[in-house]
Amino acid sequence: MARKIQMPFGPQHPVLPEPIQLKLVLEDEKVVEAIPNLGYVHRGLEGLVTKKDYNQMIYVAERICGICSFQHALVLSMAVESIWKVEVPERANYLRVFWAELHRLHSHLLWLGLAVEAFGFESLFMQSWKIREKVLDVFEATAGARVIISTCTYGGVKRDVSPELAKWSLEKIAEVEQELKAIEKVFVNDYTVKRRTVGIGVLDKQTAEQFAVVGPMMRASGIKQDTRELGFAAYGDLDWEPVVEQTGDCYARILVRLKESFQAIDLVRQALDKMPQGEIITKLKGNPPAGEAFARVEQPRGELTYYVKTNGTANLERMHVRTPTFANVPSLLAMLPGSELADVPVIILTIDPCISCAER
Amino acid sequence: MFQLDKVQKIDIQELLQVTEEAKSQGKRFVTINCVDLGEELDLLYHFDKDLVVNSYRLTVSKGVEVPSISNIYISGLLIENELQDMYGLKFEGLVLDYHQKLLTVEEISQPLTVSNLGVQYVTKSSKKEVVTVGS
Repeated sequence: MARKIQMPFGPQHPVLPEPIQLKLVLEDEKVVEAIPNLGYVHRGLEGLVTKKDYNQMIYVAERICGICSFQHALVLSMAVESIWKVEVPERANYLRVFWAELHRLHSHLLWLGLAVEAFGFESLFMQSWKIREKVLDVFEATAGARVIISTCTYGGVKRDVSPELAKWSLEKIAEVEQELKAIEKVFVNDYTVKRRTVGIGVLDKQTAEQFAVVGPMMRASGIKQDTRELGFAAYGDLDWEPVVEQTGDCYARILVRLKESFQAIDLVRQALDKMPQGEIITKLKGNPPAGEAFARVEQPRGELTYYVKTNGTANLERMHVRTPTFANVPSLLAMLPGSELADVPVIILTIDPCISCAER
Repeated sequence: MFQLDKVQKIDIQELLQVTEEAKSQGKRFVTINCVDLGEELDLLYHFDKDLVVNSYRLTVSKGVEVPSISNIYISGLLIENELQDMYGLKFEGLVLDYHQKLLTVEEISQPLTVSNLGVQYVTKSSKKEVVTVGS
């Protein structure tokens, strides 16, 4: 009979950019139990509602995550706008899609690189991140910043995109598409990628439903659901379908994020193509009225929910954030037992963990 | 679309029954939100099916143990542990109980309760006008 040992995985580990710990119980090299442990970098940002006014909270929300900062600002704006009963100008809705999809694209490119780096595919990792830089160039040109762009606000967006800038952005995105197509076949067909991901960390449809996973995790397990189907911003006017895979393994999660990267490029094109002329913001005065709202958007990692309660003052009374990583971490309890120790880093990375999101 | 006008109020005895029903109807557990009302805690449970959210409001006095839904929806374990950390709320029957140490440490106890936040609301129009809630 194999000897059982308990082993800590993290919080500092070469494959983990951020700290999370898993207490693994192993029988030889096989995982029999895994208990996740958070709390290493909790920042208490939700508590800042009492110290920062509602305008400042947009900047706080953006700093919950550097990778999907735009979606944090977007969903907070949507929640407060619904309490305020504000109509957002149509052009602003299209610009929101433009920046949101660019965030999805750069987030997925970042993740694709990290995922293959987890099993030592350094050159593919570098190629993915090299392509991602061009998306950040578009952020810099259109918003003036490469990471946290601060363009979304209550009532619309703060910056417009001129026709010249839109044309330049489309040229850059075309380069991204061309370069991503060149490495797509490596992600899909390469022996090493398939050997380390096919049949690994399987989360079947029933277990995915039981663990209530969200985003690409959910869709890689055959569940066709994407919060963008709600039609917020301009998504309801654009032509797209959720990307779904059936096998529920690490390979399926790579395929979903890869296809969603191309889909993001298509949505950026559609948004710029169909964007009407007009105002980009509805100016708001005073404080939001008392009320509460529950809003959600599809962040690159999945469904992001914000609960906001207002009381008529300049401060929000409560802001509660449920990030997709927070929803996806419990699924490790199902995916890790039965796997080989060498596959643990790959499986953890395929949930695309964002600890700064989870520990906002 | 996002406002919570049609939240169904439930009492503590109904919570598990409502959760079981949600599960049997194939709904996905989304999250629990909590607001400190001073003497009471306001808990909002959200379940989703085909992108339609059903929300239930449970208001409990502080100190009352709330039945955990983690036996029905295992995905509820992290948010229930977070609420234990942030509000000192106790969930009975949690499948994995971090005993108020999931996100916080002993020195930072129940940071989101009104008494610990020392809530001060400053209106934009007059920085001098301060509404204080709690101590």
